[in-house]
Order: sequence, then C-alpha cells, then structure tokens
Amino acid sequence: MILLTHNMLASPMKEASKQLHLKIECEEKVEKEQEYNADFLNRMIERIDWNSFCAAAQSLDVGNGLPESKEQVDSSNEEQMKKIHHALMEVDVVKGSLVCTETGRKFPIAAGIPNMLLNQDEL
Amino acid sequence: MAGQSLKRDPVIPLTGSDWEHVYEPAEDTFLFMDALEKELEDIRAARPGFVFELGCGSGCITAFLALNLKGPAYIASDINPHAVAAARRTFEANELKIDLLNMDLFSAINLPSGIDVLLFNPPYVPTPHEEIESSWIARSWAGGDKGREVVDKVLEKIETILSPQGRLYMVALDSNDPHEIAKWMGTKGYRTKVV
Ligand SMILES: C[S@@+](CC[C@H](N)C(=O)[O-])C[C@H]1O[C@@H](n2cnc3c(N)ncnc32)[C@H](O)[C@@H]1O
Repeated sequence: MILLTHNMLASPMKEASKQLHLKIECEEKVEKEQEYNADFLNRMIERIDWNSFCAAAQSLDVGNGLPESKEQVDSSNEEQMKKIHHALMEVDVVKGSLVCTETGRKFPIAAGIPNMLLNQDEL
Repeated sequence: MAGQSLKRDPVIPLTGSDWEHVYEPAEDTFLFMDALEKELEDIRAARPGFVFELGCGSGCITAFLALNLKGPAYIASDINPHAVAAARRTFEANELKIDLLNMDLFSAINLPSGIDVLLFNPPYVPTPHEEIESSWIARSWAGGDKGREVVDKVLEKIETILSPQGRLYMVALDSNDPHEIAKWMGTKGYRTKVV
C-alpha cells in the first residue's frame, strides 16, 4: 500500500466518522522507483488530504522536507516535487496495520494488501 | 485480424487450483476488455486520475487497462481474499505496480473528489439471496434477486463514489433489467450507453 492509496481510506467501523484517516503502524516497507510525472503529481496533490498525507509520511520516516500545507507546494521546485512524489508513490507498506483511531480496531496489511473486512459481529 | 491491434494482453500467471476460489476470466471478462478497448481513446481523452476496479477477481481487467493506458493511478479491490492474492500475482507478472484492497464494496473508501473511472464486472446471476454469502467463489456470480442485489448497493450511492465527470463501466445481463439501471443513472445525472 502506497500513501496515495492510504489517503483514500477511512475506517469501515460503523462507530467511526468516516472522515478521519487511518494511522499506519508499519512493520515493513519497501521503496521502489516509480516514473515521475509532474502533471500527474500536480493533479494528485490537488485531490489528496494534505494533513493526512504529511502525518502518514512522518510515520514512515519520509516526511522530511514536505511542505506543511498545499499552499506551500511550489510546482516549479523540482527537488520539493520529487520528495512529494517519493513519499506519495514510492514507499510501499508491505506489512503492518492500519489503525482506526476512534475504536482502536486494527486492520492488518499483509503482502502489501490491507484487509479492510469487518468480522460478522462488527457488521 | 492478427497484427491489426496494438493492444497488449496481460499475462495471467494463475492455474487450475487457483480457480477453485477465484473467478476464472470468462466470456463476460473478455467482453469487458473488448469494450474497454473500444473506449480506450475516449477514456484517455478524459485524463482520469483514479481508475478503480471493484471485484477484480484475477485482476486481468485492470491489468489489461493499465497495460494499454498509462497515466492514471490504478487501484483494485475484492471482497474475496483469494482474489486479491491472485490479482497481486497477475500485476507482478505484468510488472504493474497497482495497489489492492481486500474490502467489501466501498466500505473503507473516503475520496471526496471521487473515482474517475470505475470498472465493475459484478456478480450478476439471479439467485436466492442466501447464495451470495455461501462461499467466496459463489460471491463471484451470485447476485441475489434479479442478479441486482450487489449491483444496487453500488448504484444506490453512485454519486458519492464517482467524480462529477466520472464513468462507470459495468456488465449487465438482460435479466438485470439494464433499462431500469439506465433510468436510475439518469436520475443521478449520468448518461448511459451500451458498449
Ligand atoms: C464476475 S466476478 C469478476 C471478476 C473479474 N473482474 C473478471 O471480470 O474476471 C465478480 C467479482 O466481484 C467480487 N465481489 C462480489 N461481491 C463483492 C463485494 N461486496 N465487494 C467487493 N467485491 C465483490 C467477487 O469476489 C468477484 O471476484
């Protein structure tokens, strides 16, 4: 799971508000080079929740040098853009959990795939 | 005709025993890919950011589109854990970096800007309701009443899932009452056509 995908997830628990993003507990990550496409990245930056992205990047130790807000993103600053690209697209959490901060429920990530299914008694 | 098409077909690295628990690409899968091939230039022109496949099974539909249309971010999901594991192997075999989610419909999705292209070859066979949850493989075809139970859960809140200019590509049988589906989409402000 890369952070772009993480950014579109919320807890499926019925008690949860569906607005908050899930906290990442990373046990293993791999970094893989992805083609850098400035146009695509600019369009994605517009669409993601920036605070959640930065918090998630911090938790994976790739948050250094990221602008604090979307307004501070300077698309002509290639060094900054490459940092965003790296954190958003190239860091893959292969093992760990996604934690619902409202209920404490953990959703396991194995082989890079988050298991967001609820148990029968949670439906 | 051989040699006329530039399209690339995905490698499917799955075999006999995989199909016990995962939907084996069948006529509907191939029709879906043919339809996407016809729509390819249209989809490209719309410059989608997010392409999402619901119920990816073996992963071959997403792999097909990702091989033939570079640019968007692809995400694929399935409720069946065997399916997401199989799709992961398919994506790897085609050197595609595509994230997978093991998830029931959109239960863990929170994407306010919406999905630009949603692909769904749903469980569409009319069956008794109970059959839907009878096994992982049954979930690939068992559609309950009129074959519409799973489809309707998606269509009910389609406007919260798709972006305003978003598209949904979906397989429907005559027994699923596609006219009624088109009418429903119309009430939500979407146009419908048969590909
Ligand atoms: C007809 S199969 C299509 C598989 C593959 N996309 C293809 O075309 O070969 C339908 C798929 O939808 C999945 N599915 C059924 N109900 C689902 C649900 N509630 N949430 C997510 N996926 C679901 C099934 O597990 C199955 O893989």
